[in-house]
Amino acid sequence: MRHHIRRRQHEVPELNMAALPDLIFTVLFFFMIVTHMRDVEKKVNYEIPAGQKMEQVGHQKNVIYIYIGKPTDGSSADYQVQLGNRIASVADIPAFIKQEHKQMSAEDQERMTVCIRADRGTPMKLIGEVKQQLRNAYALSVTYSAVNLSTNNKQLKQ
Amino acid sequence: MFGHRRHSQVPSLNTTSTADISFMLLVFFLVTSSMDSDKGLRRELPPPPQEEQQAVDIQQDDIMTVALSADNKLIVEGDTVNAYQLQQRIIDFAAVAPKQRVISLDVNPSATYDAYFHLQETVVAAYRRLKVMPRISENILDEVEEGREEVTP
Repeated sequence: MRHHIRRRQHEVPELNMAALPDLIFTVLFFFMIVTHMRDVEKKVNYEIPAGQKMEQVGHQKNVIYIYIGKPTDGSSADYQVQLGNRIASVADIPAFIKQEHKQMSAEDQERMTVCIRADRGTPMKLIGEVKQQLRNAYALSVTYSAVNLSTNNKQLKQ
Repeated sequence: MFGHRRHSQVPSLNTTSTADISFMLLVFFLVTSSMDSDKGLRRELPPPPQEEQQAVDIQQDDIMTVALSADNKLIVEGDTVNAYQLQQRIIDFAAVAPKQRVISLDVNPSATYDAYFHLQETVVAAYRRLKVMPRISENILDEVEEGREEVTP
């Protein structure tokens, strides 16, 4: 009548971790491919407007960015234009566009777009000057960068 | 003369830290890269004015002037309107003869970019509903700078 329970020494089986590095490498390569490095240091502070029906700005390689905002180092309280990695004047835009245009492949040159990332409070005088310079440089395709407003936020009807 | 051959086994490499190293790389890429895909309002600017360019005659009835004042108010023919009313007025105005009618934007140089952006957005949205190409004439700077801008709907 005696139950004999046999106790065996159970060992926890070891997990095979050999595939883990491969897995992580796959994720790593995925991120390396889909993302692009930030190659421009932000020299101006800006907050772009919010819009409703935004279009995707084209492929990264054919987009030239122009940043407009107040300098981050507080050197000036006025709105400044940042081209590439430096703060420049509006008159430098055609030369900058020409230089960037040269570095693109022929296919990208045709689809070149200038993306204006400007602060909401930028006076239109400055924007107008920038647009005038872009026209002079024959950079006629322009995108006003904006964040997407959620669709249930009906700001337009207020 | 023969060397003593021993059955030596190749020692296995300890690969435990490979996962840690690749994790570090992964975190580095996550931090330094930006995933944000840019969105925006696409517009086509007119080419710079040519010397031999001829002025285009447009009838007075075919122009609707929308002004953006220095305090960011939208003024259509003397009335202050909001974005929704403006969109309705543009649709009512342009629906009659969209190919001929022109929206003329008068932007005060001290208006803000935010207001200008919403104005552009409203005009584009109105024309998108009509499914035609907008005809916009724009004047921002103090000097008279006329240029017609066309965008794809």
